[in-house]
Amino acid sequence: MKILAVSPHLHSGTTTRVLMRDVLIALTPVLLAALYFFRWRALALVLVCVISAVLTELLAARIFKKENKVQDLSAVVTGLLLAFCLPPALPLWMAALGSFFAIFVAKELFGGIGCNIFNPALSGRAFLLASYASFMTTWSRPLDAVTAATPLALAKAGSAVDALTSAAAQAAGQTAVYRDLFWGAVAGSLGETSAAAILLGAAYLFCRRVIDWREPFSYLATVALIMFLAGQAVLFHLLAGGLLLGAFFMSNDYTTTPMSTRGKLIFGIGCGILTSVIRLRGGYPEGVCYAILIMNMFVPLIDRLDLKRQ
Amino acid sequence: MHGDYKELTRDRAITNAPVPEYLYVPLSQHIGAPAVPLVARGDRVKRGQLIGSADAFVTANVHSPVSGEVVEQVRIINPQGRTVDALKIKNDFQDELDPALKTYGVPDELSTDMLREIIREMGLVGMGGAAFPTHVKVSPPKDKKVDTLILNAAECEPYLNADYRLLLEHPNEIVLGLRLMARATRAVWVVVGLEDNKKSVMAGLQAAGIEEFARIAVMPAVYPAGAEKVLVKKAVGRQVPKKGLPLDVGVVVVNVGTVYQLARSIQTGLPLLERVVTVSGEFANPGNYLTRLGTLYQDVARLPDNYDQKDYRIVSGGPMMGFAVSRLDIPVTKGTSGLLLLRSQIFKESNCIRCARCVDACPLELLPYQDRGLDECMECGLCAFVCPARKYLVQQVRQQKAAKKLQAK
Amino acid sequence: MRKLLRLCPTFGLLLGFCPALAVTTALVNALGMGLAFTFVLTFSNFFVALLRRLIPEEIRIPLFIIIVVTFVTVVDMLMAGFAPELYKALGIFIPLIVVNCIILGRAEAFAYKNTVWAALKDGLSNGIWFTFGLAVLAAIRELLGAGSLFGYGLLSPHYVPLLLAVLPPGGFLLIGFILAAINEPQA
Repeated sequence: MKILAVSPHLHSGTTTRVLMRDVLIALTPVLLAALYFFRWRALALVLVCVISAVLTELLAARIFKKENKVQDLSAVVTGLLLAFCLPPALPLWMAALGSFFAIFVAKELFGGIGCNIFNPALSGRAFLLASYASFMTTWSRPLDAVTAATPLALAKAGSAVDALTSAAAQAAGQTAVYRDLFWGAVAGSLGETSAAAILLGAAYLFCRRVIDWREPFSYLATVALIMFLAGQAVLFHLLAGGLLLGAFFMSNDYTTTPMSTRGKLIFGIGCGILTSVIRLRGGYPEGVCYAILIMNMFVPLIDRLDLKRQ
Repeated sequence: MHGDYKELTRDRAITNAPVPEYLYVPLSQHIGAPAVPLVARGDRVKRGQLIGSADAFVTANVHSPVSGEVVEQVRIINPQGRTVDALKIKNDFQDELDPALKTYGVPDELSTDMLREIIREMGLVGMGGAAFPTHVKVSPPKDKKVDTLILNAAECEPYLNADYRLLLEHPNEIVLGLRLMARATRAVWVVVGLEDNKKSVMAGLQAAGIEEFARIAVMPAVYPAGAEKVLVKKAVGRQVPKKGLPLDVGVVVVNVGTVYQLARSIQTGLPLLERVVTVSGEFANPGNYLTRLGTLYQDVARLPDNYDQKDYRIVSGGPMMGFAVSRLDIPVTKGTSGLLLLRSQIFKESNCIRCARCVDACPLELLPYQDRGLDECMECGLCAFVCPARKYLVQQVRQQKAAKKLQAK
Repeated sequence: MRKLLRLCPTFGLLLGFCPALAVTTALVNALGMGLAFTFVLTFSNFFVALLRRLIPEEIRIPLFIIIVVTFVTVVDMLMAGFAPELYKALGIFIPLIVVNCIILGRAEAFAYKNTVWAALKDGLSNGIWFTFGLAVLAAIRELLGAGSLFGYGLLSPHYVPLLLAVLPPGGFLLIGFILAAINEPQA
């Protein structure tokens, strides 16, 4: 059939689906690490989250009588990311409920892909944390699934920093702690424990030019700087908790972050400040989730700033 | 841009396209007032004879590309989809030259005023696509001072090789034409803006003595390096003001084809009668063809067998800024740089995911996803090219421009 | 159901969100608030309509408030005396009825321009529908957030309460859902 359309008559071929597929590929190492450390719990949570995310998307398309966009894979990414920020021992129905909330409330009620204000996966997590606080803060040790505290929770209680700085834990113990943090053999959410896997995935996304360096690096640099000024162990704070996962896979989500170069830097720095403040002074040991969600609210404002300049 | 598809016709030398029996020469092949026909039905015309002219400053003369007989004045669709007046000429295949054609003697002795007059008489226009009359370009208003002439040898559109082949095969004419053009504009500095994927033409240009008066600025082959504003910035580092022309910063940009034609016209006395057209994509006869103006597309480009089994679009011009045309009985005009048959699908727009690729891609630093500053947009198409949601961004820009024009009325 | 909910000033006019969010964590609180509110609204409407020819237009708002305050004080003291537990649960939101925009809105928009009898009817019906709206909200929130109604556990003891429902954001979300459901056919 002959096609008459306005120029350009070529396309780069990089569609939303291709971008989302790249993100899924980048998340594969994280998934493998989660499967290794948390075994069948990880598998079950990931499956439940992804499937319920996709089903919710189909349901939303039905209810709102619009074309379903499942084939763009964004619901799969959201489900996977949500699973990655849940504790391994979470009951499966809660995960499904969180997935429903993430897609239906945080994404589809705002208009679907591209229209949401808040990061859907993090909204789902915040919803679960507010509703089922005790379940969401019960962590288990990798491999043997014994209940344990996360490194950041220990640090909040004072023991891990002590362990890192006290004479008893000297150089040998310290490297062991960092080695575990780097490879992921610590308690935590499914996808946040292994820094190595996250960095591998992020490197892939950088190579494919899917993500911008500005948000993750300004985010990490801000946290590092504040932790340094506060006299904390900088490397520990960078590796522990969900910072790396948040910085590389959530603080640069296209839809919920600013579009301009300057806006991206402002966004990253804001996330860094909020995360540090929550970790140092807040009631929670971890602040990545809320930091990003709070900064999400500033995005329209930041974007306006750049419109004005034009 | 990865993959510029130029390799399809890069190594194909310019050959003469067959001259058809009937030619349809549009009276308006340029920006400005359409030419008024000087011949009528039944008149004999000679090759190079002036057949259309208008009493306006911004217009261009039209000449008969062949000798023969004017069959009638017809209405014909041009590549932009508008119906325009054209003269249908029956070719007698004699190519008898018009006796009124002048010769110009030694090119280097021509004065600026004479050159401007020659450019006007020969009907020269910008042959990159926009077809802006060249004599207007080289005669700046008194309050504007021109000091720099840039030869736009970027040819940044994928697929197209017409300019590249001219540079490679006719460096002497191009150097001569450029020197004359510099005199016509009274420019002090002459710069050749060349994309770095066309370095192979440099040896020829240097042998022809281009470095005696011009500097070659090699730019990275990034579309749209050949867009005037981008070219001026890259080649001489001057920023053309918003909504302004290169003239506002003392620069005139000319096209390779135009410069070549100027030299040929002065050497042979023949006006602009033919141009190089790149036929590429999936056409059965890819190549670079020297084509008489008024030749129908179907006489230049051959459709392959079974081409209509898959979705396709026929594009007049380059793939980024050219026009998809509905038929092949459209005449080649002064601005026709290419003819492409492209495989294509219909894409549905999806939601903007705010990835900001269009913002990063825009060479003019506009915000394509917003209707901000789009008056300046030159419709290079990069935003739509990179858009993951496949938004018809250029279409939106055009609609808004058209709506504004209507409002202004 | 849709039409019934739209009669409630909270959902129909988007007024009075403050008490609608704050006291609807339990059904008892919502009904107590609704009764107190209905009482105040009815009597303030009645007196505003009664005195409307005596109230100068320039200072009508302060005078409305004085009338409202009178009845709020009555309710406040009655509740403190006879239902101290409810009084404790509702806390500041009883005195805050004074500045409730539904009450001022009815006084200004209706009672000030209508007869005593009409104002009385208007106050009573608005109060009842407001109570109904609060009750619907509270029932859903209490059921989800605590698994009970009027404090009696209705769901199985294995039900894990959805804490968010009784937190402020849950209230906002629920109001949003209800509004969306009410307004959907208009879209």
